[in-house]
Amino acid sequence: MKGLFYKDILMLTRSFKAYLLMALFFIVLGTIRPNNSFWAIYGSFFFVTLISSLMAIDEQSRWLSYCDIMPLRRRDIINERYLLTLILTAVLNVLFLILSMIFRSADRATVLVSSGMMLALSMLASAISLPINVKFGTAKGQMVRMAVIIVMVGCGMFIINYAGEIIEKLLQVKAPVLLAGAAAAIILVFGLSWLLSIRIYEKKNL
Amino acid sequence: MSAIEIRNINKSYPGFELKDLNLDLPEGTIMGLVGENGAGKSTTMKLLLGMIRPDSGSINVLGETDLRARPQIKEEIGVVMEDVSFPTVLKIHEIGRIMAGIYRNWDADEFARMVKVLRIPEDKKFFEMSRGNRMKTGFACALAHHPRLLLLDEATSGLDPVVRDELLDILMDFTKDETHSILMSSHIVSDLEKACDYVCFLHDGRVLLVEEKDRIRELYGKLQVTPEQFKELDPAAVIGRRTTPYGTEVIVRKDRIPAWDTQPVDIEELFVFMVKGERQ
Repeated sequence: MKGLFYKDILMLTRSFKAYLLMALFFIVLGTIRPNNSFWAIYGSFFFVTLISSLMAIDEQSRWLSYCDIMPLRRRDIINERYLLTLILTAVLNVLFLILSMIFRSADRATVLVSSGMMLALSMLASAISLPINVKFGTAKGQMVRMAVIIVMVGCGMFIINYAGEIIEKLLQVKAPVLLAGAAAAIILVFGLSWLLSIRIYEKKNL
Repeated sequence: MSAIEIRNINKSYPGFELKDLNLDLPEGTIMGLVGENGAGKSTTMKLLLGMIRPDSGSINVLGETDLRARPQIKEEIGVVMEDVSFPTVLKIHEIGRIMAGIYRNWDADEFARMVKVLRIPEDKKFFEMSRGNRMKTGFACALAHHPRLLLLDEATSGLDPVVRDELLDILMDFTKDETHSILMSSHIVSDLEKACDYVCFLHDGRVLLVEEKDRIRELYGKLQVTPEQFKELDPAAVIGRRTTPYGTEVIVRKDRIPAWDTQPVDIEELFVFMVKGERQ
């Protein structure tokens, strides 16, 4: 699997240099603007979409079917993609925390909440997009992903409109429990997505 | 001992069926798969590599029966497909480093040697390389992890005669070790004629013939006959015929017409006559 990591890091630095710099720019922007971590979260989210772009390049060059001739299990290919997502997300998060400490533009609580949001959104976005890309390919996957995101945003709006007050009250009383529950749910969704991708890819005809 | 054993393999797709395929590749030999487009050559290669699963039958490659579940045996298999598919922005030394992280047996010195011997440009990205150099890259990768078995699917197609000749020399060198074997498919029958010990004719998903290359010359011959002479021939001896304004050309089994004087037949002629004979 070492070779797969090496290949993807090489491709990221070779083909997506501009995108990487943009993601870093957003992170920096999020840390220097007082109490405004939107850009950092956006940067993290943006960074995760690079994984989809990597998959698109692999499809184009037919690298994945070439991998089938090598001593790799199909799950190794998926494992590498999910691990890479986690590593990239963690690296960005650490960078965000370090920059936040240097610039001191927000209080510690805000920085930690932003960091948590970055992790949560990156993991959730990956959990949705990776199995869709594996199943449908990145071109068709784009459409499916959009449809899923629209449905999710719709559900979110519905919950905020109809249960927003209840959630707010619960957050005031039991914030740690709710946050821990949300974190556990995101980890569970990410894990299930990982297993689903393996299952899809192992059955796929390349 | 056989490097490959295929027993009663069946695999069907819409519009294509591989039927009751049986094949043995003895260790230390080169077998050529000859067939038209859609005859089942690539399907056979994919089945051997576990890239697709058969509907029925069994496959044994270097003692392993399920390559998808246990792909570690692919450490000992070098593969070159019709298209060598590396990410296009990579250069040859980067491809080498990726492979070193995938194959445990990867030999960086051997890879560097192959790059030199095959004169693969080191300063060009993969997409800037000619088809010949891309295929050479595939060969260098396939050989640099010291495989015991090479599977080559149309690996010499589209290459100029000089490059093909260089690659065939490398293949023949590879089988000097008696534990090394090669299964190669090609449209270019002259390549197979030069390199192979055995040939297998595939047509419409069925095996028409598996024979030692040298035995083909002993077993089959060509005759030029008149229509009257053709009628005298034992029908069981006739493999195929072609009628021209100058007479009828017939490929025959020599043992069934011992009294006739035949001309030698090459693999390409035999294949074409057999396929046309099937159609008739």
